[in-house]
Amino acid sequence: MKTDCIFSASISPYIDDELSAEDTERLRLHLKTCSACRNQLRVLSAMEVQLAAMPPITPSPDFDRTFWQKIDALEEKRRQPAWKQWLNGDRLREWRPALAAAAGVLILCGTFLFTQRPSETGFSADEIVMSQNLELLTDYEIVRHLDFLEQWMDFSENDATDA
Amino acid sequence: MHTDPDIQLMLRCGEGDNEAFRKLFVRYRTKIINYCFRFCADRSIAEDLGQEVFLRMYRAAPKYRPDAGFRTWLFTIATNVCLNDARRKRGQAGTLSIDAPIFTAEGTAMPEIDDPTGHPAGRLLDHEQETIVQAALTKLPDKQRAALLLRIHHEFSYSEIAAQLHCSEGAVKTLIHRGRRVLAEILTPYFKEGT
Ligand SMILES: [Zn+2]
Repeated sequence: MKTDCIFSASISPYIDDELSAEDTERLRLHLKTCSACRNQLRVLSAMEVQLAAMPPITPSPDFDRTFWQKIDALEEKRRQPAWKQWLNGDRLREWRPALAAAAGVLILCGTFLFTQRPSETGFSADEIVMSQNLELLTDYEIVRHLDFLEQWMDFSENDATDA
Repeated sequence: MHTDPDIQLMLRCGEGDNEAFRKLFVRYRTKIINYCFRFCADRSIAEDLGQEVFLRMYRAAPKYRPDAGFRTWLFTIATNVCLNDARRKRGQAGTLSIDAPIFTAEGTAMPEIDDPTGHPAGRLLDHEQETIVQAALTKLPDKQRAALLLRIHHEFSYSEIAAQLHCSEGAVKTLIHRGRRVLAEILTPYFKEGT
């Protein structure tokens, strides 16, 4: 159904009653003389009937029950304290990539600090800060890998002695 | 004061009136499921999408502002849900499979459109006809399909569809025109008159 007539694009809005009164009149006059447009109108109108005749479906018997269960779950979630909602909610899911990126940066920084070898001339600035704070850090439970820190201290001391 | 009774109900939903929400849910669920069904051609997915539409409506209720008619607003949510789902699936599968089974209202699945010469018009059963039309719809780009369904099955005006698809009325006119032309090319061999 190819037609290059300039009125071709008016036929669909004509079917939908979306043409102005003026354009409708112009198209009606044109249809009297253009068989290609008349044919297109006939085909599209017939198809309209086919589309409109598609039978509707009825929701499955479970649809309502499942939906109200979801609403109950939503209301249950809303009754939780704000911090719990945040932990279980979509917000955390949205933040997850950002949190993962932040954790990645922390790990990189940590790896950099812990693996940096002392320079030939002695301790780096980072090592001095860390050794000053090591005693402080050991007082906190959050430093889980104390053995690693202690080994690192031994290692850096030996290294310094060797140098 | 809004005269649209659905807007009144939706405003009451925003104030926590669950009975008002229930009334709107019952009034619109079949229409929304049918819109989703004709969009995605899968009954079970259509029901999932329908659930998502009403959950979004429920969550949006406190912030609801009656800028447009209620029906236009609700179908805007449904259109977003359908388009997002199609986009997500295309992202997963590379492209929407047109070979996927097409489901009719009766629940029977039929494969992709085959040779039209095997389907002389007049001998097609209703569900065969429905399957062919649904398969043709599935071949349309998402926005063309949405625009056509909103127009033909739900009788929205071009300006309402423009609001739902976040585009101009001119763009809607083009979407519907092109959608009809593509459908006609596919379907004409099946529904030739007088043969
Ligand atoms: Zn013409």
